[in-house]
Amino acid sequence: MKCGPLVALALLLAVFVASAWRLARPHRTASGDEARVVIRFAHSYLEAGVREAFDELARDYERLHPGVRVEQLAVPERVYLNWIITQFVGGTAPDLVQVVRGLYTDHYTRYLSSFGDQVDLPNPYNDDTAIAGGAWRDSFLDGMAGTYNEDLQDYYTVSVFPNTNRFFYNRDLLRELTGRDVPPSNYDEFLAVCVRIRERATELSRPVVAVAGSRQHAPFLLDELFRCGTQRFGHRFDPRRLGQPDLEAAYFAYLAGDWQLTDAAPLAALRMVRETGLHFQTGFTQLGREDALFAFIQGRAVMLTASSFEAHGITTLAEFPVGVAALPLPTPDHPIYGRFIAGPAWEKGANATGGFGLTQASAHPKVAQDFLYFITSQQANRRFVARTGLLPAIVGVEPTPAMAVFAPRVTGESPGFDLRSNVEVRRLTDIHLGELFGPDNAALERFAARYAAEYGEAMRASLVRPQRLRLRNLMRNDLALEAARQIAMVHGASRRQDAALVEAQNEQELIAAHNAWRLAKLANSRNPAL
Amino acid sequence: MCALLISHLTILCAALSFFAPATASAAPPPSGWNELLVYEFATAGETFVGDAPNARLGQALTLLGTQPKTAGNIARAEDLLRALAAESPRSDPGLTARYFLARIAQLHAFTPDPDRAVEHYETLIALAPDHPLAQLGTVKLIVLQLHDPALTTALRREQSDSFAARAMILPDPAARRDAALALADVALRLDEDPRRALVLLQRADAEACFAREATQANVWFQIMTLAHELGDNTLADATARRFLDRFLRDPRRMLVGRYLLVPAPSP
Repeated sequence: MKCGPLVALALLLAVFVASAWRLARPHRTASGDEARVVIRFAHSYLEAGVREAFDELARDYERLHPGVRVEQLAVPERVYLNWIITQFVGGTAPDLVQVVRGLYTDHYTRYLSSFGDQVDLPNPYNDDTAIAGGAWRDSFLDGMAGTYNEDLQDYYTVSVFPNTNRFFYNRDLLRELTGRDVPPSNYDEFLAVCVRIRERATELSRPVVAVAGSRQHAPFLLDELFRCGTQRFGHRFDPRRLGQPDLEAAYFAYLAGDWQLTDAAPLAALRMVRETGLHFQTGFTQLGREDALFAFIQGRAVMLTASSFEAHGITTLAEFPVGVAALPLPTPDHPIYGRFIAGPAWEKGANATGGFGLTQASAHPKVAQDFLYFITSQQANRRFVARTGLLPAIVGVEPTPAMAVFAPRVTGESPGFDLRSNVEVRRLTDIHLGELFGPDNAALERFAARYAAEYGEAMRASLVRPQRLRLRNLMRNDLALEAARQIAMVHGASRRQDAALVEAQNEQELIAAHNAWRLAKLANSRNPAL
Repeated sequence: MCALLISHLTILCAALSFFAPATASAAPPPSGWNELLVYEFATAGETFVGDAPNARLGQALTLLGTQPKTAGNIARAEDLLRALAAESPRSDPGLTARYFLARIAQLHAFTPDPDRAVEHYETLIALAPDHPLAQLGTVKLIVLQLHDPALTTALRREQSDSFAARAMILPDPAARRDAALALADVALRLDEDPRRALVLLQRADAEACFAREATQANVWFQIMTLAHELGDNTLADATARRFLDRFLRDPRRMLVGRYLLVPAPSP
């Protein structure tokens, strides 16, 4: 009994030591690793080879940085958008996330960090290469043009691989139905091949269409045709002389009555869309991605326009030789459409598949940023390309021979505009596009009239919503800029990114003021388009 | 018995401490401005306490950022700022307060009052023309006044001339740059006066202080295009060369190459 207090004291001491050790030791990871910083990155790239390639890069990075553990989260594309928004709102987003179409400007500013301050600095992982010392931005084949956010005038994502759209064809079926061994090399040849396929399939009573389309795949060609047909027309809408059409300027001009959908150029563009779409399977505007892929892979369609990202899957699944060629777009020497066309346009490369963004919720933003530097280094990108067969994003990395045809055109003429560039206009297009492919010849005019009846309102909504978001961003940044100034007064020096933010803020304010001026003028006009 | 109780209580306390966040004790004390910088308005609001001018300024700005935005919060912010501006109009907090009174009237208020915003900006500039926010305020004033829908073209032109003269004497090159860019944009898009726009863009470029490469690339593209439009092919050529030397990955490189007097050799 006498040693009772001693036991209690010893126990107390033991518990105290254990507790002190628990509080002082570093964060324990879920997997039991200790003394490690854990960064997580999420994406929806479930295609063969991509996860494995990311995994290899993650292990390479861990070897270089033994104190860091990198975890990959692959989330199915179907639920990815909702999943990532939930993570954003719940404050549980991983350090790096794939940024996909469907996220609004608000999501960018509220949940992601800008790379504006980093893009002009070198990527340290390129130190021993021919591009050492250059700006991070210049290490990308497209100079990061594909991931530049025009609305926010800043960089919020970094692409690991670009994505381009090409036209895939079933070599056996093409030969069997048309007698050709080579794909059509121009627009007229393409249409002639489509007609031949339809005629031959009817003769043979075979359920084969020229082109497999879906809501996702058809725009790869149809939007490109519309952009092509509005190339020269689009030059009218570049009041700031920036070398590319300003969509907002085009909308304001439409609302002011300066142009109509039935003007020669947009009507010609619509005509191209119609004459091409007639060779897709019936009802394609309502079909999903898998419908088009299955139709092509099962030999029920000779051609398919798809992205470089799908190339590996398509060639793996198809039990026939697959050919890939450039989209059959008309050129300036085309006898009918040539006068509307400037020439091959640049391809920005990164599209809806997006790139990675750094979340503001990241507990280790510097490490996450460093990992992003690592995976966009020349060496890592070379390894990634070899493992996945996807296109390289980085200068000096060659695509695999099979993917050379997908290499993006990094410079060229400016593209025109399309009927899908923002939410409201895209929704209108999705509702009405099917009407453009009616069997009678009046379908084009009918579509143009119906579409035009709602086009103005969709444009107006497309102008008002970004304007609202722009003003909200200006308000938030007003406060952040003052905070930065106050901090700089204490530390005696301002950060480089603050100067960039002031510059961007003034530019955004100018755009907002201009648009408000235009909207006010429109409100006082009596244009029937309104 | 007593010792046993103590030891059990200690064990309980220690066990609870196991679940305490390990990093909590290591976090540095937040300064409200750091929180405001990353839009953490709720946390910033808890930090800006007391009656010191800087704290009251922080409180006002936090109210402006707090969501949901309410008329009550804006009015409270305005009261705090008005008091600060009245107490010590030429001090940094006083001038900052004046700047934000202008910003509220121009931007943050549910019903903006441009005339009131102009008054605040002009007062700020008169009080301390060299203060960074007075210079920034000059840029805002240019943007605000020249986009007044009631302004006639002639009147806008007159005001542009006056602002161009004021902008030239701003001490900060970044403010001169942004003022020139704003004036150039008005000349280009509202007045459709490319000659005037070119002069202003060249003035902005001469400040040589672009913080963002994208702005620099755009300004050179604009100068090149306008120079060509106006028949100054030498300037177009020189600007195209600068562009091609500096912007190696810009998708417009092929377009820029067309403005060279002697075509560049094929790569």
